[in-house]
Amino acid sequence: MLRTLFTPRWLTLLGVVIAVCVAFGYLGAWQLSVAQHDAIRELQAEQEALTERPLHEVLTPHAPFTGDLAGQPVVVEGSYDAARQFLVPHRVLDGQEGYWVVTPLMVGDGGSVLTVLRGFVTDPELADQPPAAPVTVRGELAPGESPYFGEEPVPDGQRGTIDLSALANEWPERFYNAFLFSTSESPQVTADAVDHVPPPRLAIGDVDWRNLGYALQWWVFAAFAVFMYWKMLRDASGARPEVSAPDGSEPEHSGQRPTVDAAHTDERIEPHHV
Amino acid sequence: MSDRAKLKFFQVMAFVVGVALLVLTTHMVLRYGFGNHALDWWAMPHGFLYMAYLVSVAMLGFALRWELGPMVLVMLAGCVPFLSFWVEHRVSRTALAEIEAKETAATGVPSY
Repeated sequence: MLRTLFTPRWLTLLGVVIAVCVAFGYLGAWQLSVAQHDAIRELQAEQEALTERPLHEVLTPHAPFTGDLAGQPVVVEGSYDAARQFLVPHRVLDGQEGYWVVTPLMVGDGGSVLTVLRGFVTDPELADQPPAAPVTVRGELAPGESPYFGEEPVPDGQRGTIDLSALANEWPERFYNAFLFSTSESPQVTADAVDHVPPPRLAIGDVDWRNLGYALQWWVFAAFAVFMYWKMLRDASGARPEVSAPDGSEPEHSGQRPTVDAAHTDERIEPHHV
Repeated sequence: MSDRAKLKFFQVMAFVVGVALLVLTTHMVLRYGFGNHALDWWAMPHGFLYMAYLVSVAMLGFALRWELGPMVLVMLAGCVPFLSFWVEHRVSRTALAEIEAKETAATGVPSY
């Protein structure tokens, strides 16, 4: 097989196969990045196209939080209950570690409660106590976080995560299975020292199977070229002239050895494991 | 898989890919001509169908000991709208003759 390989014809073909592999490899990678950007742009456009709606139109107390509600902009009226406010430690905003300030909002007449992430502070002292005055809060909905399983105990007035199932058990009001990334209030009752936490946005790196599929196709084609080359080379190095095409067009076996050993004779009958 | 089965597989795939390519062409016209993204989803299934076509050509080609050049040309024919139908017709005719000749050489009579 090596003797066949080191002929101009097969070396040229090898060059072609390598070029194809490199080109297809790059095409696959390019496709992947394009598809990724496309998918993200689509999802972002979808999210931006969501229009703000009153909370009661999209979610009722105790109703499950469905996936399409994540990032839904809502407006809700109520009043904060500062007595039950808590902080969530080990949160990061703009590279600084600090605390999320989470306050229950008594919605409407006070019969139901929505968990509102009012903002972020670097020091617990900076977390203000909002007055129990009527306020209109705008923001985006998010599903609750996982329960806290950390080793270190959490100080009083703090919770490891926004664990809605725990809150639902402790708060007597009818409970919304969501929390709100507050983006604005009117009137603004939250102190300026409490920074708004921007609602989560999709970032590069979210790939769905479809994107991978596009790229994979190029790579599979490249692998196929390699396979074709290997198979042709193997056939050529073991080929015999008498099995040429019957229409008289004698295929040129340029790399072919004049003698074929007995082992190959058997193989000739059904040599194709494709 | 017998040579005849490989030929059948090739014929089926050539037809399927021929039609699939026409759908893809429609998609390109819609998308780049009219900004219509209705057929965007078709690109990927077409890719996989084309792969199956390549495999079918390779299986038939290796079985009948085609040269690399013609084999690659038959493969590329699957990328040109309408060409694959004509190529399939031509290839089937010569391939059938080759298969019959091969069978005659092996057993003395062509098997049907």
